Amino acid sequence: MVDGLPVSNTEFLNPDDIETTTVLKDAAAASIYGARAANGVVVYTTKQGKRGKRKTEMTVNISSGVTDPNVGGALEILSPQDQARYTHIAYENDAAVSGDPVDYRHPQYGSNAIATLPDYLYADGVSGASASKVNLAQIQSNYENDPDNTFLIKPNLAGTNWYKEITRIAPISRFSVGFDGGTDNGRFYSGISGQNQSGILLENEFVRYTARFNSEWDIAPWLSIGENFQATYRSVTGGFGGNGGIGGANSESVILSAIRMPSIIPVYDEFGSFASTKAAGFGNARNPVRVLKNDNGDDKAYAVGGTGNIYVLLKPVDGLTIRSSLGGTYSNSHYNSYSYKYLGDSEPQASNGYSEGSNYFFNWTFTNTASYDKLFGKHRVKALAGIEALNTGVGRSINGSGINPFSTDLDFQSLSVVQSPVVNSSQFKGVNFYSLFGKLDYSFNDKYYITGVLRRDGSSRFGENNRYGVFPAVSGAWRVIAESFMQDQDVVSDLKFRAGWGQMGNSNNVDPNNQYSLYASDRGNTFYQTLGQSSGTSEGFAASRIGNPDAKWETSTTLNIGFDASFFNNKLEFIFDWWQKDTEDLLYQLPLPGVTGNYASAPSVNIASMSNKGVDFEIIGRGNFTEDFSFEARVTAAFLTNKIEALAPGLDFFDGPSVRDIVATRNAVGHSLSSFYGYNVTGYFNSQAELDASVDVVRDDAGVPVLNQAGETTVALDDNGDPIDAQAGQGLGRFKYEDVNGDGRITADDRKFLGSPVPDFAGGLTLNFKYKKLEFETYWYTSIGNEIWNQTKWYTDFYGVFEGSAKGPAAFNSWTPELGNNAQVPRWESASNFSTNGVGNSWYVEDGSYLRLQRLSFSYDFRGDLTDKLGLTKLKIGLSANNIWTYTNYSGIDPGVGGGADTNFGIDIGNYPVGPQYMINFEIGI
Amino acid sequence: MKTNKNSKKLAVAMVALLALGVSCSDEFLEIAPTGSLADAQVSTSEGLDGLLIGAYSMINGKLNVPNERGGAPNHWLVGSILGGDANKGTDPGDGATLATFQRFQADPTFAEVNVLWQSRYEGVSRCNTVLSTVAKSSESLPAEKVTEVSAQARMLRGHFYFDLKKNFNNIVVFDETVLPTDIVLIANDGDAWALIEADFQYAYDNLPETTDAGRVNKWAAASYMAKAKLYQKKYAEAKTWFDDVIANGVACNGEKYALLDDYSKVFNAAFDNHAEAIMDVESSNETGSVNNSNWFDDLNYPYLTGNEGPGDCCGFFQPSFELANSFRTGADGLPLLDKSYNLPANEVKNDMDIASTEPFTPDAGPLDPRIDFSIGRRDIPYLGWKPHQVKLG
Repeated sequence: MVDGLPVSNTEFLNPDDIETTTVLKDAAAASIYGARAANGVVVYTTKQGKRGKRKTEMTVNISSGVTDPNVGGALEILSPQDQARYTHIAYENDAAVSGDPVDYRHPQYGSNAIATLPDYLYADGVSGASASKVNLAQIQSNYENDPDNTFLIKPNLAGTNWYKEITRIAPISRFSVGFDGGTDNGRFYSGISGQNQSGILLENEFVRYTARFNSEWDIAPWLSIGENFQATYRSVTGGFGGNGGIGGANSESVILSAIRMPSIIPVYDEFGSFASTKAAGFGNARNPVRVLKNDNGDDKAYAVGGTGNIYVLLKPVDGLTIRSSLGGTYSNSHYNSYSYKYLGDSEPQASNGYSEGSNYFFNWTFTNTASYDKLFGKHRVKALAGIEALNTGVGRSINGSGINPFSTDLDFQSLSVVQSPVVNSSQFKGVNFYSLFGKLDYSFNDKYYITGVLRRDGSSRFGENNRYGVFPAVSGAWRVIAESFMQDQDVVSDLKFRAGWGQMGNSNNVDPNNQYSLYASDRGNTFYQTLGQSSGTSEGFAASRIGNPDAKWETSTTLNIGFDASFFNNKLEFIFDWWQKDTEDLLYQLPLPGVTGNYASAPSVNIASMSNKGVDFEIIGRGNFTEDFSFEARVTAAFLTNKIEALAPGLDFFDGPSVRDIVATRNAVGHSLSSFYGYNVTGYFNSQAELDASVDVVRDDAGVPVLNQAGETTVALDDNGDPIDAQAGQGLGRFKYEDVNGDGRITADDRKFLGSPVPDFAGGLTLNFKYKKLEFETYWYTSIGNEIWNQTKWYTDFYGVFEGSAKGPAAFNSWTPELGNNAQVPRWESASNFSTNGVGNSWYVEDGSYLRLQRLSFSYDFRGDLTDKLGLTKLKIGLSANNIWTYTNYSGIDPGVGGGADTNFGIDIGNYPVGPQYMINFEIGI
Repeated sequence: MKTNKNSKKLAVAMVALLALGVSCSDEFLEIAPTGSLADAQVSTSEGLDGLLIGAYSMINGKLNVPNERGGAPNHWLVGSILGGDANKGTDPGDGATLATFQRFQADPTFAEVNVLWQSRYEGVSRCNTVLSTVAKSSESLPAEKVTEVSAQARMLRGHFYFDLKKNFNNIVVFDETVLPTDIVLIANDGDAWALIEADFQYAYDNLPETTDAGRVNKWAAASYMAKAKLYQKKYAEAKTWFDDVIANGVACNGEKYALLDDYSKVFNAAFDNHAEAIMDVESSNETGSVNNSNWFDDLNYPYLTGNEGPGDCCGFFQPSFELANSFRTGADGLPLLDKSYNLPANEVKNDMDIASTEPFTPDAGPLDPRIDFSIGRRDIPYLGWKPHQVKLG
C-alpha cells in the first residue's frame, strides 16, 4: 500500500520520498486492508509536509557509489592447460571402462597422451591447426570477402576469465530534491529525483526520474481536500532479468554461458570479431560478451506513468471524519529489441532479428470511509465503516517480431521492414473487488484494548454462488505497566501483552477467468493445414480452460500471541510473537490427469491446505558508555516451519519443473514447499567387487523376486547372458544410490526427500554506535538450516555434460580408487547416464546456511555551528558499504538464492554473485 | 450552524452514493473473459469446423510441455531410437535421457514418456469435444454436417487411440459420452481395439473419397482398419481390407493409390499430397508459429554442418549401423530379409575413425539406392544439399 493505494510493486518510489514503512503482522491490523493483503501488507507513507506557519524547507540528497561484481567470488574454471590435461584423463578413464585402447580424440589437444595446445583453435574451417599449416594470406583474403563467416582464433594461453569479461564495476547515483512546506491551513511536499544505475553486467542500464507532489488544504473548518501524485519515467537498457538479475537466471543465461565457456577461448579473434565455439571441441556455449554487447546493448524499454489519488475529508461533527478517495495508476510502456546474426557459435544465429511492443495499463481504487473517534471519560471509542471498489488493471498490449531487415541501421529498423513479421496482441480487463468493512476499537483507561474487524469482500474472480466472503478478526491487548501494582518499581518500564485472531480471504493466485469454460484459437497449437497448404494455415479452436464456477475464497486464519516488554528505563526491550497461519480451501490448480487432455488450463479448486508456524522476536539493548558515546544493538530473529497439509484427494505430491532433465523439487503433503527430492547418494562404486555384487535378481511381473527350488533368488541375466545391473549405468567411480525400499534394485521408488530450501531460522543484528556527531552502524544477516540445490555443478563437475565446455576445479578431486568416497565428484569420464549426471540426487544438495555482513556505515552530522554559519538546517555526510563479507560452507557463487516459491525456490542455476556496494551520501537541508 | 447543514447534505449524498454502490455491485463483479470463445460460439456450424481443425492440429503431437519431442508424430524416439534404427546423437550429456530409451532403461518418470501419453490423449480429448458438441447441437445442424464432422472426428480419435494402444498397450478407453470427472475413475484395461475398429468403420462408411488434401478420406479409414486388424493378428480380415484398399483406394485428390515413379519426390515438399499419401502430418511455413513446421525434428539435423548445411545444429537422431546395413541387398537387388545384412561380410562399409584428411572409398557392394535418402554418407550428395563430408570445425 502506498498512501492508501494497493500496488503490486514499489520500484517506482524514490526512497528519499518515503516517510515511513510499516510491516503489518497482527491479524486485525492487516485485515483492514482486505483481500489483496492476504500475503502480508507493507504500508508506505510518502512525505506529506506539516501544517503551520513556517519556512519551506528544502532537502537535497546526493548519493553516489559503485557495485563491485566480485570477480574473486565467481566460480572458478580450469585453466586452458588443466582443461586439456583433464580431457585426456577423461579419455583414459573412458578406455578403462570400455577396455578399448585410449582414443585421444579431442580436435584441439593432439593425439598423444600428453595434451598439447594448438597454435590456432580455429583457422577458417580447420580446428586445432598448427601454424605451419595455416595460410594466413588466404584467410585474410577470405575474411575480406566474407567477414561474417571467417574466423581466426588463437588460444588464450593465460585463460579468459569470462565472468570478469561480462562484468564491470558499476556506478550508481541518485539525486533528489524535496520541498516540505505548510501554512496554518495546508501542507505540501514536493520532490523530484533522478537515478542512474548501471548493472554489473555490460550494457545494463537503469534510469528513473520521478516527480511527486503531495498536498492537503483546508477549504473550510469541516472540509479538506488533498492529493498525492507521482509521475515516473523509467528506462531499462540491455534488460537482463528483474530482481537484480536473479529473475534472468536460467539455463541459457549469460552468467551460465560464462561458466560453460572454456577459458582457452579468447573474447575476440585475430580479426577483432567475437570468438566462440565454432572452434570444435568446446561444447555449445555462446560468447556471453557478444550476447551482451550485440544482442542486448541496443535493447531499450521505457515506461511513463502516473500514480496517485485525490481525496476529500469531511468533519461534519466533532469526532466524525468522512473520507472519500479516488486513486489509480496509468502507465504506458514500449520496448525494442534487436539481435544480430552471428556465425561464430557452434549453434549459430543465422538471422538478424527485431522485435517491438508496447502496452498500456490502468487501474483504480475508490474508497469511502466514515470514522468516529471519541473519549468518554476513561472509555475511548474509535469506529470505522467503509466501502471500497477497485479494479486491478485493464490494458492492452501489442508486440511483433521479424527477421532480416534490409539494413541493421537502428534508424532504419521497424516491424514494417522485417521479413516474416508476426504480430500478436492481447487485452485484459483485470479483476474487480467490492468490499464493505467495519472496525471498532475500544480502550479503557489506556490499559485494556480490544479491536474487532468485520469485512465482506466480493471478487469477480468467483462465480455468483460464492462471490462474497465474510472475514472477522479480533485482537486485544493488556498494558500491564499501567496497572497500579506496576507503579512502584523501576525495573520494568513497559509491559504489554497482545493477542490476535483473524481470518482473511485470498483470491490473488486465481486466474480472472477461473469460473469460465473457454475455447481459444492459437496459431501454434490449434491451427492446422487441412487444405494441405505449404504456406499459411487454417484456423481452429480447442478447449483452453475448464471452468470452476464453484470456487470460493481461500481463507487463512492467523493466530498471534505476543508481548512487548522493556526494562531499565527502556535500555532493554523485548518484542516477542508466536504466530500460526493456517490456510484452508487453498485455491490450487489441480493438474489434470493426462487422459483428460492437458492443453486446457485446469481450474483452481479449493482443495489444498497449508500451515505456517513461527516465532519472531526482537531484542533491543541501548545505553551509554560515556555521555557522548552511546550504542544500540537490535537482534531480530524468526523461526519458521512450513508444511503442506493437504493437496487433493488421491494426490499427495506434484513435482517442480526440470532443469536439463534434472527434477529437483517435489511439493508433497507433510513436507515444506519445494522440498528437494531425488536419489540418495551413499558414496561411489569403489571396487569391481562392489560392482559385481550389485546385480538384479529374477523377478515376476510385479517385481517380486522369484525363488528357485532351493528357495534362493537367482541372478537375472540379459539376452547376452550377462547379469543385469541393480542400478542402471553403474560403474567404477559413479554414484551409488541408497536402495530406500530395500528391494535389491534402484528404481524410481528409491527417491526420497533430501532437504528443504526453507530456513529453520533467519535473523538480523543491527549494531549502532554514536560518538558525538559520528554514527557507526552495521547490519548482519543470517539464514540457518536451509538447503540449496546447486544445479551449476551439473555443468562444471561432470566431464560428460557438454563435453569440452568449461569445467571446474572439482576435476582435481574427481574419483580415483585411492580417493574412494572422499572424492568430490564422480569419475572424470564421458559417460552420461542414470549413475552419473542423469538424475537428481543428494550430491546436488548442500547446506545453504550463511552469515553475511550486509551493511556497514559511517555518518557525520555537521548540524551546529558549521551549519548555522552556512545558513543550512542540515548537513550530513555518510559512507556505507553493503554485502561486504559472507561466511558459508556453500560451494556455489552465492548462498542467497532466490526463485519462485513452488517451482525453482532454492535452486541455484547460475545467479549473480552478490557483489559489495560502496556508497557516499550527502544530505543538505536549507 | 450553516457549515454543519451543508456537510450534512454532503454526508447524505455520500450515503446515497454508497447505497448505489451496493445495489449495482453484482453487475460490477461480473467481468467477461477476453480473447476467447464460449460454448455458444463454437456450437455453430462454423465453430464446429474450427473445433475439428483443432482436433486435426494434434496430429503433429505438439503440446507445450517440457521434453515435448517425446510426442513427435514420426516417433523418432519411441520408434526409431528405441527400435535400433537410430542413435541419440550429439554430445553424451546433451539429452542423456534419450539414450536410456535405446538401452531399455527409460522409466515412467521420464518426461518423454509422459508427453507421448499426454499429447495423444489431448488428441482424443479434442475429438471427443467435437463429438459431444455435435451431439448437443445436432438438432440445429444439417444432418450432412453432423455426419461430415463426426466421421472425421472419429477417424482422428481412432488414430490417437491406435498410437496409445501401440505404445502403452494398457490404456484408458472412453468415448465422448463420459464426463471428464468420470474419466479419472476408469481403469486402464479398456477394450481399445473395439473402439478403434468402430471409429474406423464409421469413418469408412461416412467419409467421402475425395476431400481437402490435409483431411482424412474414406480410404485412409480403410487402410487404418487394415492396419488395426494386422496389429491384432487378424490376418484374414486384414487381407480383406488391404485388398479393398489396393483395388479401390484413392488419395484425397481422387488419384488412385500408387508408388511414385521417382523416389525422391516422396519427401519433397513440391510434390506434397501425392498418390502415396494415405494420411499426412501436414506442415507449412509462414503460419506465424514454428509449431506448424515439423517442430519435432528441429534438432535432428547432421551435427554442425556449417551454415551451408541444413539446421547446422545439434545432431540428434543419427542413423545406426544396423539401419545402414539393412539397405544391403543380395546380388539380385532384393533385401536380405533374414537379417544376414548384419553379418560382417554384409556390413556396409563406414568411415568411423577415419579422419576427414584420410582417403575413404564408399561401399562398392550392392545397396538399395534409397540408402542415400536416409543416411548421409561421405562424399555422396545428401538430399540435394551437398556431398556429405566429415568436417572438423
